[in-house]
Amino acid sequence: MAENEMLDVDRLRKITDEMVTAITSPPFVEAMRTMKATAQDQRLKVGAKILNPEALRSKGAPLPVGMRITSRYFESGKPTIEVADPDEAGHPPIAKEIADISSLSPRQTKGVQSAGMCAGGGAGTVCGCAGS
Amino acid sequence: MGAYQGLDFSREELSAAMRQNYDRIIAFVTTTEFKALHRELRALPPTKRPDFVRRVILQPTELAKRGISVPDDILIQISAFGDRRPTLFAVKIFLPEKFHCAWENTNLTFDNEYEDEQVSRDPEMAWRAPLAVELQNSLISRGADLDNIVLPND
Repeated sequence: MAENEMLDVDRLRKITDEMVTAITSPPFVEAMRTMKATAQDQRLKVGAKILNPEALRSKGAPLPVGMRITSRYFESGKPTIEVADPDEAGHPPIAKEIADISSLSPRQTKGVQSAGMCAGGGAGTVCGCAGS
Repeated sequence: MGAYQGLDFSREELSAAMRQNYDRIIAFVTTTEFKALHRELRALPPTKRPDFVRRVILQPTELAKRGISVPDDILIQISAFGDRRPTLFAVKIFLPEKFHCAWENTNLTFDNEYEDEQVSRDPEMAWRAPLAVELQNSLISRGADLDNIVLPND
């Protein structure tokens, strides 16, 4: 998508209009209230069950085509951490990172207070979202 | 439209508050100055963009150099999604507190490009624990596939 299309006022208004129609629908609001009333450590499981496009459409929520519903974690700006370089054999450091980030898990679980709803992403790279 | 069961606000009120927020965010990101900033970001390779976000987009003094003044109630933040899309930053406004039992904020989110099929809509994938934001950004800077990272609780 061209630069001027990405930040086109009419395009952004259209995708956010669709978002508002979808996420203010009674089935969507009810699902959000249920999720927010759920204990933090159960929210991912509950979110996957009740806040997914198929479940919401089946209850009559008018979701736009391609809408994404996902967990989300906001953080105010912090410096990025350093991640080890690939080893001498050229293997990426993914396995090491998986082992090393275990200490981040409790904080991440605590941070999953947010559900992100998003329309118009992907190739557009600017999408309308809402969170809670 | 009408009232929600058990809530003290109507769908019309919530819709109007969201529309008002989105209109303010859209007005902010479509100024000449913000569009120039966005072009500056997009001119960089995708792997260089998280660093630009940290050094420039999250820094009021750098934004001011570019003629951008962020209103007090508009937040520019970094985030991570459970579906692991390569996200860069979001421009966000909180809704009035009366709506927080359902929705807390509205935002426009800026991502690196990705193919639609690269980011799963499967609920089990979309509702994973998001990566730590700093880890996510380090991985984007390396061109890594965020889907290759498995958290202990996944």
